[in-house]
Amino acid sequence: MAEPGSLEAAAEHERILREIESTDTACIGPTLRSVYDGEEHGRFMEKLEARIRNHDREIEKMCNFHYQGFVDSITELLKVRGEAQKLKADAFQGRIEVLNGTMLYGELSLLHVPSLQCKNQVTDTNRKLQNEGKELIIAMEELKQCRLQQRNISTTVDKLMLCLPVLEMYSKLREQMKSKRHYPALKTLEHLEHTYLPQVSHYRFCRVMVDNIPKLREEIKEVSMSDLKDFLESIRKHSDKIGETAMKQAQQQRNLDNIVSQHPRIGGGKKSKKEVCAGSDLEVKNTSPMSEQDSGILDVEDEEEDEEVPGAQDLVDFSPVHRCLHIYSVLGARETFENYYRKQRRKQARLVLQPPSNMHETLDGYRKYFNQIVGFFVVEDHILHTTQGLVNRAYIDELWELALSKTIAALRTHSSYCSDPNLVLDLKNLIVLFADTLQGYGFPVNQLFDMLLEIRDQYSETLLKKWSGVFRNILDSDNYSPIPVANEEIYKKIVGQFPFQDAELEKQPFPKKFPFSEFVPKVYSQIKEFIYACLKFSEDLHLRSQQRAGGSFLLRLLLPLQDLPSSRSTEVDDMIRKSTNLLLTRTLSNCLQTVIKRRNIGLTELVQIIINTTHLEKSCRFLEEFITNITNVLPETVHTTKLYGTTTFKDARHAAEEEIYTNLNQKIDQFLQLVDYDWMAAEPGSRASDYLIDLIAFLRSTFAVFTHLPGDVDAHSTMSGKVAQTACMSACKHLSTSLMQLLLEVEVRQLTLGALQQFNLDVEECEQFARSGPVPGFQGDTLQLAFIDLRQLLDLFLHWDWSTYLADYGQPTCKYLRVNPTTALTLLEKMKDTSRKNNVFAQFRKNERDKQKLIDTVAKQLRSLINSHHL
Amino acid sequence: MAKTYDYLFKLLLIGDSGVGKTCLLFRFSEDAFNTTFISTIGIDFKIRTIELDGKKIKLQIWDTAGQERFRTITTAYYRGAMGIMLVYDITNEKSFDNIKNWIRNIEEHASSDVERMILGNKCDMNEKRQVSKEKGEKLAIDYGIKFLETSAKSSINVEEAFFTLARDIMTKLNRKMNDNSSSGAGGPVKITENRSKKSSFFRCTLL
Repeated sequence: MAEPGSLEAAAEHERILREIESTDTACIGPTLRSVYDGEEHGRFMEKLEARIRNHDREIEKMCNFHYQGFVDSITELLKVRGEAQKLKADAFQGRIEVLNGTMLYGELSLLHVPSLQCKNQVTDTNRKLQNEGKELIIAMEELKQCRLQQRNISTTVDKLMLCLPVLEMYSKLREQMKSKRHYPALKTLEHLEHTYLPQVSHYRFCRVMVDNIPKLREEIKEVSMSDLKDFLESIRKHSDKIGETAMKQAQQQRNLDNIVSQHPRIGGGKKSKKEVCAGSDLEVKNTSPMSEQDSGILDVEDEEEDEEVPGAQDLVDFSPVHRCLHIYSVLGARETFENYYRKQRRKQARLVLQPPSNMHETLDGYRKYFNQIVGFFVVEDHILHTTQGLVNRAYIDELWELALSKTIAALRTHSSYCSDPNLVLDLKNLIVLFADTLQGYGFPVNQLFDMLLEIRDQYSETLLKKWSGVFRNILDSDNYSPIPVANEEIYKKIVGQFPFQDAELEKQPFPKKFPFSEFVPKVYSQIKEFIYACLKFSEDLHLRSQQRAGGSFLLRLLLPLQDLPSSRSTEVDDMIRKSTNLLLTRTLSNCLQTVIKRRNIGLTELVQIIINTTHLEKSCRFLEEFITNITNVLPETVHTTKLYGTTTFKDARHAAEEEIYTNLNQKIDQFLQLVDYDWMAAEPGSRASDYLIDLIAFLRSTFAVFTHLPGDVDAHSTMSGKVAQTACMSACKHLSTSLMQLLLEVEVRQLTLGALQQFNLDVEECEQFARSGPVPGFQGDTLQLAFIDLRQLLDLFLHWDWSTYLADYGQPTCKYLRVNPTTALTLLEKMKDTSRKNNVFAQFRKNERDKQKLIDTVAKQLRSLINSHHL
Repeated sequence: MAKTYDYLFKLLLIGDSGVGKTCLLFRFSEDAFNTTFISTIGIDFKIRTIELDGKKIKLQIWDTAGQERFRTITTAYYRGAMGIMLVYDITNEKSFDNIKNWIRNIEEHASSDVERMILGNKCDMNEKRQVSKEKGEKLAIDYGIKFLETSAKSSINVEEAFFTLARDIMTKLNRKMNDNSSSGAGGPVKITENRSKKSSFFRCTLL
């Protein structure tokens, strides 16, 4: 569609051009008007220009060809002018003569001397004069014509002079528009509108121009807005690059500062900054060709800028913003522009601050996120400083607030997913750099440094989690037997890993054994590893804190009042100690407790854990020394935290001891599952019950292997005397209680004397065990006392010694002091029931009848005893 | 206290240190496995109740330390055992060779009619095998004992092994009871359903 249209227009233009060339100048007007009325007048202008250029060339050619003729003509003309002058002079002379003649005539007439001759002469002279005058009149007429022409020309020239600047301005405007110099174009437009056009407003072409002016303005506005949009788009695309550069520069700055702080005499900060700028291989892509011509404001600001910040913003051509701002200001739509810009940038900010969902996976994810944010604010900062009020402090502060809260929230969320301490460490460094960079641009970053505290906790948490796994592995893979040492080399290796000194062991010949198992040196080494890992986080911050002019954030956070030079190491020391305490009291403690509470843990492991934790507990002071060596903070310093490791190991040891007791009791319970008394047996067996014999044998051998060191190389760890005694006592008590429960079991409604005698055999077996001293160190019959309740009860029943019991009841010397009347009654009633069952026989036996009676009597007395003591 | 079982069989696990006796027992009693080797100190036991021919049988399985230094303690348990598992490690030739010594120990210390069984453990580690299955089988045949290759780790043949041994003990027990009743000799034979079982158990263990 456009093609034929433009072709048509081209033909029309061609026709018009021909018309212009062929017709008289006077008739050009309507032709031109038709052009202006048409729509393609720009194109026509181009055509016309081309045609004019053609003609100019032709004219030039022609001029060259006719040059000599032209010169001759000029010479001729000059000659003609000379003649004409002469002619003028002659004419003048002629007039004077005429005047003279008139005067003569007058004299003659006065003298009354008229003569025909004279009259003729006068007539002749008159005629001559008339003739002469005619010429003069013609000349005069010509002169008049010339004068008129001259005046017309000068008027035309004046008018044209008035119009020309307008046209020049207009063409300049066109030129500027064409070369996209919209702001100067706008200035020209204004000039044209207010200065030039009013003077010549009556011309038709001027009215056309006036009509065009708003259109041009709109066009400029649109074009500059589209430039701005391009800019916004590109800034969005490049902001991560800008951020990256800014961060890189901050990093270099930091490195340099480190060097400078190490050699304070080398150069001032500013100089080094410049060096950084030069050093950083930044591609300053100042692609704007018209930035210089554009606006003076920018240049001035730029110089100021150079001093303050390195050229991250040089990556971007800001001229579209400035141009657009100027244009809109000039057009009186600055507010619209400001609103538009801020709105767009707010939108961008929101996009930038939205972290990618998988950000936590890699450091790169975080880096990109930070780069974007830094980029955004570097741009905004530049805009703030280079434009007057396009953005203001309040706007930036608001955005920064938003950014801070969003960033911190994002970090909080994402860092919590992180389980790799190294990544957390890298993240910390990145946050520090991020904060540093933005602080360099004057943004308040305290909240970010506060955030670092959370990250530090996060780091500690991940470390603890990691070490929890490490400890679990160590404890799971341990063989819970003393480490065998075949030679000096192995001995030295272990002693190097774990602080252990034992003169006795040292004297022993190889092969020998350390008392503890592998897990002791392993756990100890891992605690040290953990301390190193903790230090990694604080090490760098420590360095930072020295640099930061505003004071260390660590200082601020950890020891707000501390101001001593050593305080920084104190805080690090404190931090390490706190983390290590967490490691010991929480992580390691939990791991140990988990192992101890494991369902199938054996006595071997428990006994070894007791030994191991004893040694680890002793090593705690070496850990203290280790930390002191790292941090150079003496333990006596007021603020140091003590290590609580000893409690962890003590607790673990106690738990293991408890578990040994429980373990043994459970074994006893398992034997008791096999209990199989025949409560109705008429006669006892020849020996103790099978299960009980097994049980006692098991206890005997268990205590034997865990208390008596066989002394050979394969020696396992043994219980300490106290643990063994407690374990043995607890086992005996548990056994005694369990047996008592068996006897008094409600389900056992009746029992015979024979059964009681069998039961007595079992208790005797127990007592025999207690007497035999299964573990060393019991005083006298202490262990036997565990069965005293059972013994007295059985004695009372087997000896049928009720008179003594009832008589001595309540006295301290009573033989059956431990027999509770309620217990006695319960058991007695079971025997009574038996007697009744056997009623048939009983009637035939007097003995039985007597006994039955006696039981009833004793039961009665017991009841009254119970009642009297319980009322 | 109600009796929760019909029979109690006492079994014993013997064999060199590290052949996997504890692991076999752990697999059988807890259906679990632990890779780390913690050598048994002295003696330990586990109890598991199984059902055979509708009878509830408590297996009290004694796990002995393989190490020589505990030999006095462990041999004391041979006498009460009704069934003995001889365990060797298929990746350890020496443990297999020692089976003969262990059998000699049984002959010396255990009751003469004790049921025996040979287990070649760790059969999951075929790539490290030092003792062929045939060799194991041959040894078993030589002694007239049942044989199984097992893996406590991969849970291969563990249940089968213990059940087989328990069934053999049960068979022997039943045969004896039949002999007793046919011979008409008195003794504590069936009075009531429940009591008779208990009695037979006592008899058996007292043999």
